[in-house]
Amino acid sequence: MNLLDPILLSLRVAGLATVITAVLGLFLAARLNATRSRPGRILAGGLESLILAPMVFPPTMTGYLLLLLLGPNGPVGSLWGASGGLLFSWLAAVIASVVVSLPLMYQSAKTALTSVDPHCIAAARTLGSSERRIFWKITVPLAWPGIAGGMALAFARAIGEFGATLMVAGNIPGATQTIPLALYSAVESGNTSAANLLLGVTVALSFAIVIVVRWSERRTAASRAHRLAGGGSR
Amino acid sequence: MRIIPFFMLNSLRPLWLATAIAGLVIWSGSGCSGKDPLIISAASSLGPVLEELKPAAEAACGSRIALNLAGSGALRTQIESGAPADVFIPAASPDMDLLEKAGLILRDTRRDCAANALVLVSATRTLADGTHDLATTLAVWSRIAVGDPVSAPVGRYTTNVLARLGLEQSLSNKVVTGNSVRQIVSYIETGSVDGGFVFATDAQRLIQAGKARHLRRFTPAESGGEVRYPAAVLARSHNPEAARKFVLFLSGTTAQAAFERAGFTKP
Repeated sequence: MNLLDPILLSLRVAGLATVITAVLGLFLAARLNATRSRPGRILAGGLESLILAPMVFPPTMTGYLLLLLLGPNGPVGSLWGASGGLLFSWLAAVIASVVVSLPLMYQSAKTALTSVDPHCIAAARTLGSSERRIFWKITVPLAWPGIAGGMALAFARAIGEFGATLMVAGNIPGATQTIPLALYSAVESGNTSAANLLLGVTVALSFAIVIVVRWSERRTAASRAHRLAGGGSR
Repeated sequence: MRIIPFFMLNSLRPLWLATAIAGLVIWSGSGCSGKDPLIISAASSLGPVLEELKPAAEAACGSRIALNLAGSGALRTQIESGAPADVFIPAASPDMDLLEKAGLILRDTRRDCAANALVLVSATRTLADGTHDLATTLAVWSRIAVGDPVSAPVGRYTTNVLARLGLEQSLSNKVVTGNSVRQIVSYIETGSVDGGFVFATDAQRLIQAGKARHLRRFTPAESGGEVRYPAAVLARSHNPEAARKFVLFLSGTTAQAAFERAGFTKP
């Protein structure tokens, strides 16, 4: 059993999924919670339940729904053109990972954005900043620890994704077999040495995620303290 | 306009580093493609044998082969939704029957490529041997692992055996139900049960690893039908010629020898 393929594929799938999830989650969290009008709030509520649904669904059910959506007869898969729709490709694994990790990113980003002191935003507004500039220069930096935490959770969830991926991407060694799928195959076929190795890799990855998050939190806190102490911004 | 404030670039260096590494990994891996391989959707229990046969099979059918291994039911759902598979090999006939009824397989290509049998094994620590009759042996056990008759094919055969031997009543409070044969195997491996009903291939692996002892092999008459692994070319195969050759290869001497080594029997 080749173990390098699933590891590289998992990093590739989870990496790309995290980038997409981060951008999408941040955008949705900012957009859905900025609406003030009544119909807008109702629409936002509906969209929010849709985003959070994969948290409630068992992964196989998410996988089954994605199968219908991405298959050659589904609304998304039929646009793709290829004979099997998007199924059995590593992109299908990325889509599955995005769908299951988006709720975590969305919820973290939402909490982080709403916890930003409105006075800072109001102050920037009185000084004539555009909303876009305020968002990128005030809101996002102040909310960053929460956003980064959401990204880490999303990455972790994407690395561990199994049920939905098995359904839409298949379990094809060298093409769509990620670490959890390889682990499943190894356990299923009684290949304990491969299973133990993959388990070790997964544990190491989860350690790495925690280390990166804690490091970034410390750096953020340090740079904020530095600025507050009069170090000035660069 | 500077979209990202400069201080962020600095204070978040580890995250940018992580992103850059992720980007490199994505970049490095995305360039792989070749001629479309034959996709074999097979029950995961067949994985080791098919993996071993892959080079010979590729030579025989003149196409690269990709194995897609999962539970038979999940594979069937994928095929029903139009997933691009070429050959289907489930661990139980009903999944194949459903696809045949839906016209999703090429009917004339269907043939059984291997067979299995139901076996009762005891965990190594259990004091039991095959000399007593089954009822006496099982009477002293306190826990026995059995497959769920709904979700695990092994459970259906086990239920038949227990009914035929009239043991259902006496075992009902000792039964530990597993969702798949794999779960039963791990109960036996860890010694969590006194023994259990598994397939001959699982029994062989358990016994070779010194984790179980063979007690009794059941005939197809006792287990209510033979355990068969049917194979067929799918109607939507992109390369039916090569797929046909693959299914024929499975019945050939090379493949049958490999199946036999893994504990399967001839269909």
